[in-house]
Amino acid sequence: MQEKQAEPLLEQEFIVQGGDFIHAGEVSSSIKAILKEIGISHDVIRRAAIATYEAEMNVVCYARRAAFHLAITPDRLTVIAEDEGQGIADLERAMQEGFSTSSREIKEMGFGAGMGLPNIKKNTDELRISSVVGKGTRLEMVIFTRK
Amino acid sequence: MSKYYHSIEVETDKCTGCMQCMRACPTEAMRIREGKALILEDRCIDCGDCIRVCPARAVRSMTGSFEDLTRFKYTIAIPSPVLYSQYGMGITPNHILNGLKGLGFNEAYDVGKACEIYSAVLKEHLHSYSQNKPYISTVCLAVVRLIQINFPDLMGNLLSMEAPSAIAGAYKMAKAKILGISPQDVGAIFITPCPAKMIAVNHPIFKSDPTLDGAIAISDIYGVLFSAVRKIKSLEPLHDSGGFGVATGIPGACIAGLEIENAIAVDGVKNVINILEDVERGKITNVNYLELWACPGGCVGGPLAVDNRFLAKIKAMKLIQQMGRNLNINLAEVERMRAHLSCDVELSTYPMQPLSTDAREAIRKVKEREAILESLPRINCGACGAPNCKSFAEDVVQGRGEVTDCVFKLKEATMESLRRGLEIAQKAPLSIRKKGA
Repeated sequence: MQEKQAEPLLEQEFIVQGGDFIHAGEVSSSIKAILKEIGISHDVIRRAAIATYEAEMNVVCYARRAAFHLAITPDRLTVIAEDEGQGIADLERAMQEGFSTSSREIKEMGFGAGMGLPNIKKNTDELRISSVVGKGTRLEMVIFTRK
Repeated sequence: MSKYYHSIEVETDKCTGCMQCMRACPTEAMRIREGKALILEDRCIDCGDCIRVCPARAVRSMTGSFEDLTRFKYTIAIPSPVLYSQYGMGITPNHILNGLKGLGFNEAYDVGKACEIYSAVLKEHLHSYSQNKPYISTVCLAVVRLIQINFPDLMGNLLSMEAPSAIAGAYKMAKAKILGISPQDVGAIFITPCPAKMIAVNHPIFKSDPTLDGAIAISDIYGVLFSAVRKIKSLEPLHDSGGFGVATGIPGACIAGLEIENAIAVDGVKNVINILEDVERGKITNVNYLELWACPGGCVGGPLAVDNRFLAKIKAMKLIQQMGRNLNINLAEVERMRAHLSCDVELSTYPMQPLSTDAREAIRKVKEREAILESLPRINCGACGAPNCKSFAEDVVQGRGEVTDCVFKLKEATMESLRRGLEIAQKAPLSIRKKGA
């Protein structure tokens, strides 16, 4: 269940296009730049940059497009990535390191090592995933900004 | 935090405010104010891209001059190996070292041996270190500055090693002992292709005390050295090192020479920023070592070097071939010199400051900045004195300018006031006003 959250101090929306490998990472960079300007601690920025980048790569590899929504409240930052894509059939297995459904093509490009979701989990304080096969996946990544 | 030292300045009487430096600056550190270039010191990394493009020669490296020599009883010239590649092939490294003596230095030290020792220690470090990967080379001080300012999280990836010139500094101490004079009376002067080397003179990053006493730009010594070389009567054998010294200034040459696996060389500040962003987001997983250079083409492309960097590189590669690619070092010497290369201070960072120390105020400013940016034409014309609309919007929220400094916003404001003026001018007193007007 979603707990009641304070009204965000700052919200921003970004769009990621599936298959756009050239621009993958731009959302991560933009979020990083904003967090630096706000004075968020370097450790939080680093984790947010890694988690967002992995989520972007997932969209680029497996989805048609996604909206990334950044919200900053006094105690946390939340990035919600909602994609229109193939969805994840077995969430439990997808969370295991090394598990990947990538095509050989994607693997040959150096992606699809099965580290995406585990890496997101490692770099966030809370991670909620819901997915509908054939429809898409929604990732909610939360990092606490106060120790 | 110690004060952040800079090695580039603008001579305002020469500056014409032409904006070339502002457009070239890779860290958006330049502004034009009152018709003159102004360096935002907390953003400048001393790369010297502004020096390269300034048509008025108003951006200047704060390197020294020959007058520096008079401060010492005994002077040692330490030429960057880049100097060896600046003249025709007929002028050998030995000619250059002899020529420097002819210019009034008591001695000319060939840094090639020091580079070999440096390379041996580097190779060993790459095998034994257990810090964050990929390791990042510290040869280019502008890159180290970039990391201190924009990538403070990657400080742990920096190999904490002083440059080969630190060994030359140690040589100076030994020389003072032999001469029986105080080390303060012996001057170790680096002949440099880049302004950032002044950091090692005035504000060393890896050492508590500077190992060099001064630096003179290659461009300042080029002509007089050429004359001095032509006047040489008999050549003293001063040069006996292999090609590693020359290789330390060429991107990738050391990686190849040392056969370092999974290493890449990247040159040019923008490219370096891109690769560091990739490191930060965890994209680079299978690279052990990054050799990063602020200057396109590495040190031979330095803003204070004279010769065309492509020609200089060809010459440097020929020199490496002639001088040999092998490391001819004596292990006992490496042991003796190792300490001079190691870092003896805690490394400082100078991270970019948030828009405000109060997070809520900073967020308010981010929103205001975005709103201002939205209202701007976003054609990055630069007339406001900032390199692009985004940095202008930031300047406005930070109180470094106002919205009407944008010529398009000024035009809008003028149109609005004209429209209102016209509206008023069209009014007439009731006595003569026609119905409906």
